[in-house]
Amino acid sequence: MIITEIKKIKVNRECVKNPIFVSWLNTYGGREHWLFSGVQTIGLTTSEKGEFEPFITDLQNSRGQIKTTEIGAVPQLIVNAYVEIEDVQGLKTILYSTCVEMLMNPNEWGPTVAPIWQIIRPKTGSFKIHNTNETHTTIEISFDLPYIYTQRQ
Amino acid sequence: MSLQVIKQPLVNINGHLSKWNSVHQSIEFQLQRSDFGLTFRQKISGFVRLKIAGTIPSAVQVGHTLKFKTLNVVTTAKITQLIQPNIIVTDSTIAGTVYGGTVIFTESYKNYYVETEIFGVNDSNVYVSLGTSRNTPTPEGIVKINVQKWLRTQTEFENQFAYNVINKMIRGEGTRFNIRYRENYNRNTYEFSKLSSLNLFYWTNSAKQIQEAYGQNMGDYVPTLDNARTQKAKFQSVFKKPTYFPGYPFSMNFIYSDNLTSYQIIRKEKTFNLNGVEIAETSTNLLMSQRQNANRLMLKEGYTSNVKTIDLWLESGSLNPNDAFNNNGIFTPAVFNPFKALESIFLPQEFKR
Repeated sequence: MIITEIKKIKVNRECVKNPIFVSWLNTYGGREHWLFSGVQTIGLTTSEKGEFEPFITDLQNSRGQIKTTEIGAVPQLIVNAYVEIEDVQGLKTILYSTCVEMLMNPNEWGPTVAPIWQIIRPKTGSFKIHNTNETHTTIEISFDLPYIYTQRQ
Repeated sequence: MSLQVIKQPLVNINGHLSKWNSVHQSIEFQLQRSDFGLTFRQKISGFVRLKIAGTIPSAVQVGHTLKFKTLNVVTTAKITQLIQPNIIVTDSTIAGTVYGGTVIFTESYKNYYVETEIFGVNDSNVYVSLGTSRNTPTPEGIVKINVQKWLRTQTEFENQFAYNVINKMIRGEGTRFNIRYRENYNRNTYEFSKLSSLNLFYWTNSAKQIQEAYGQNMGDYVPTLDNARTQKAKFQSVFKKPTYFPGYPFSMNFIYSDNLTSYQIIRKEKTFNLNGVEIAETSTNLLMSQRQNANRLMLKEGYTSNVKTIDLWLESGSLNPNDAFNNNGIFTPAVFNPFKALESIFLPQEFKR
């Protein structure tokens, strides 16, 4: 007796450049998977987390008025995919997933080597997903990667 | 007298139950408090006689207010006289004699509340206490218990699957839970109810949307052994047609539900080429040890290069003759018998004072 729906699964064997494989938790409690490829954009957002201005008594030997106490540095990754509209319905759920992970050992993982994942966080905001008259569209998603530890004074 | 479960977080799907609920929404049980049963209530010249099924407790005094329920009508009244086992109250709206009903001693049982203990299941299939909830009843004696907050602590958001076996339960994605409860009043704590398969339920790490079928219940995704079911259980994927990228991890989530009891479940795959012509059909048995949990299901993989699409579904097979899991919810030790493990911890007594 058939007890579940019959799910059609597409097999994508395209050779890809710059593969980025992600897995994310959907609202149904399942995990999804997708391979992004092609041109990816690497970015970096820095922010000053604090500064102070010491009282200068020796003006001649002073090295500056303002010193930084801490700086934030968050690498970013922007991925693109040109996909069918029916895939957009699934891919857009990355944007509101509470756990998105990127595969860190795509060439090593296998039956005896567990996949290694790193949490990446989709940037929040308002997004145009696609036009209803399109059959294909390009979807672009920006992720914040784990931030860079820096010294704090 | 007792607490009676009057509402549980379940839905009926074409005659089969789904006891699986979204853990990020309310998972509510309702209990009805009834302190004593009524043999009958009888109108006698301006008074009402309540004959209770038992002995009137010493805490019940003349002048106290009580509630009694007959014919599904709740009446509040003041006690004017006690003549064991009869309670005399004043009420001008009552007429005639009615058999049956219940009494709640709202004033005599001071600081009344129900304590509910919520149990999850650990990796050894043994119940572990997640915490207790304290709830006071409504004026009608209904106690509402939302257990979601305790279960949510059991969720795991990170990907825990190693992608090396056909199906694997991931407890952090969904599993079993149970509850037991007891009354507290007049500074006395009474015995917990016995853990029972009747209160064995399930959660998944999901969030349903407004106006979705079955509300916060995951009924749409719960497989049942039902040939007549037109909307078969769904896989937990948001993609209409998920994509498998050979060489990369891939799995589908499904609920290996309690409804499948001891039947062998089979993964069926049918592969097609670019023109939609069938290439092969395969059948592989799932690991039954993973049932009653949220599961990951892998594809057979290793497909020939001409395979472009795969039809994937689950089927029930034969009844496992070595499996003692029966339809009454009694579990074989090999699969899941938390009650057995609990016997050494909790006395298997019926709930009573």
